[in-house]
Amino acid sequence: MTIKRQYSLPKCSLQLEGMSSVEPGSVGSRPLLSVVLQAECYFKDLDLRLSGGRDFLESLATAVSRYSQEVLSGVSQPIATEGNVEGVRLWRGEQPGQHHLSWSPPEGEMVEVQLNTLQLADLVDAIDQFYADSRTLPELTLKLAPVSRRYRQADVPLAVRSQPVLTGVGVLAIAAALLFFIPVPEVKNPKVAYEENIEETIAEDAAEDTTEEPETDDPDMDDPDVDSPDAEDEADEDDSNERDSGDAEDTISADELEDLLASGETITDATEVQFIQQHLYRELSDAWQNRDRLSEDLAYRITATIDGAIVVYEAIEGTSRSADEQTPLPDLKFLPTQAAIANREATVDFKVVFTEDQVLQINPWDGLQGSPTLGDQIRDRGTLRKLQDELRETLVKKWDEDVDTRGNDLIFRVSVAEDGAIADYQAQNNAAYTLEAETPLPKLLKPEAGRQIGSVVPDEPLGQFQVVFKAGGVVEVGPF
Amino acid sequence: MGSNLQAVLFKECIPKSHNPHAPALLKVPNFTSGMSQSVSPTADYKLPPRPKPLILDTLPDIPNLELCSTRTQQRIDLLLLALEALELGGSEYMLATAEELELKSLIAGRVSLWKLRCTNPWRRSYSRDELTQDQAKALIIVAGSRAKQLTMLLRQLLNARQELQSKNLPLDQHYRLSEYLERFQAHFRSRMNTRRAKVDHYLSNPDELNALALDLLTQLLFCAGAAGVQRLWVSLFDGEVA
Repeated sequence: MTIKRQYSLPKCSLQLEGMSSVEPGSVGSRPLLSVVLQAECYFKDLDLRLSGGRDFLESLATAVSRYSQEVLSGVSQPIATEGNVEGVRLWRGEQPGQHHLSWSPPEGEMVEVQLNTLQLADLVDAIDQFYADSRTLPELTLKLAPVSRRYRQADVPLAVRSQPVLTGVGVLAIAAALLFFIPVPEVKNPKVAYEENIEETIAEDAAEDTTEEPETDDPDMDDPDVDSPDAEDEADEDDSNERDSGDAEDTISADELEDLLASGETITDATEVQFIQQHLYRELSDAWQNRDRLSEDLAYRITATIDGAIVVYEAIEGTSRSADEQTPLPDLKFLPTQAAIANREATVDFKVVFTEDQVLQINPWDGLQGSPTLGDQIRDRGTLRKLQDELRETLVKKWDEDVDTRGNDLIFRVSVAEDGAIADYQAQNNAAYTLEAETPLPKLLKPEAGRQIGSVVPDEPLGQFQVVFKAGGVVEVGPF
Repeated sequence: MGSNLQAVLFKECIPKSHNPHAPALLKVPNFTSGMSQSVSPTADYKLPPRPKPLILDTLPDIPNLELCSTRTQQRIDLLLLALEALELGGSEYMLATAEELELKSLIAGRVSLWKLRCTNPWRRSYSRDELTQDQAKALIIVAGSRAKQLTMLLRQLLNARQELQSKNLPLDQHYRLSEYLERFQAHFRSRMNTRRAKVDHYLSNPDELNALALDLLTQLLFCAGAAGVQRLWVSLFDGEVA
């Protein structure tokens, strides 16, 4: 007895003809279709029938199952029987919504048909209904399993994904090739350049010093003298000692002196003249007592040697010869020794004026030939820093914070020998001139520091500093 | 003043506190009038919800899979998005379907549904959560159920697409189809994160976005078949298993 089963859908119907291998169990129940004689797939729109035996049915069901999953997920799985053209195959059309189905029967020509999505969906539904029917070939059931990730295609093609990597490698290669031609930069030792700079700046400072010097030595200054009695006494002692020793030695006569002055060389070096002038100024200023006795200006031409000794003086510009008793000149005049004559000691003339308003003026008689310098300077930075620190400490200890500076800063140039002794100093502003005696500088001064006996010009390098005394005990020390 | 305010608050509180009983009272006439909807008057003695709805067993478990992949989650959300574009108030229908299929333990309400859908990495509000298999099953069952309801519309739209394609006419020539595509595009634009390269690509290529929308229609159509939901479910894990 033939059994017919039909699974009918709007676009596609599946019809099976077969028979049951077993006797029907009970009347009324659907007979079991266990042997398929013919299967027919009919597409109404296309009026196309595909038919075959059980092989066709199984092949169709498997192919439809596989392809529908591919349509749903977009992941295509390879056909297990590659190269085997027999049976049913399904694959995508060129356009979305197009599907191709081919059926190669064992004998006869291959049939190929193009399906749209609705026809495919109905075909799938028909197959599913057949699978679900437990009274038709119950051994064939729907078996579904996800496709392995081996078959999953990347969302982005490999060519696109590899593009950033390839670009990066390419750029690196190009950059490396270009950089290969750029020479390795030479490493310069920065220390050398640094030292050169230091020397240059020091030289510049010295040059500035020399240019400023004449201005600061202007003799038209305010009264600088408020002497401390201690310094005066010391100076007196020194003077008397030297004079005594001079007297003890063989002195020279007036004629010999005139001859010496006439034939002797003149000191022309501006630096030496400058130092001698400073020495004389300090000596005369210290020794000049009773300034209020003067009723008129007293002017003298004095001749001094390199050691700062006044060898001769004469009154000039109408100053009476007897007026010298009112000046310290007689006390400070040294007669040159025979040795000095033998050595034809060089001398230099100054004009000294003791003014009526108690100001001491000293100027080189012939002026300065060229610019005076401060002599050799200490250039070692470490030494300078050490000296600067020592000087500041010394001055801060001695600088009386109660001194009334009247709101002014007292600025001095201070020369310091390498052993830290203050060899020389010079006021740099009016307040400093006026209040020089209030500062610790006069007491700390050691004129012999940095020089040899017999010369007021230092032969050792000195450190030059600018010292500023401020009210309240503040002392600032910096490079001059 | 203070007592007045208290009185007002108290008044407002009364209806709220009685609110839960109101639906039960309203449902009694339904029950008595013989509607098919079965509401027991002894609703207070409801059985606790089943730990796992039985309907989930209609979909096979995917072995060796703890949580869904982002790609699976993205596909599920897009299917639901297509359903929303197909019918106005689509998400309400989904909630109703979930309740009907006794999936409330997995899809409790709007917020719960929204949270489940936010596992789609393309979304602006991507939650970085992962769906369990049961959650994914619930969503797919709801989607399949909705798709079955909309079978006629799906066939109509896909048929129209076929005809327009064969005549080389633009897709917006069909009113219903163009309406679907426009709505899908609007939903996609408003909910997806444009900083995602893929999303940006779709938004700057409307033709590809339309192709995606039509592909989703095809998937929904397949769901309408006898074993369509199972096929769709398994296909979600294509390329995700060893």
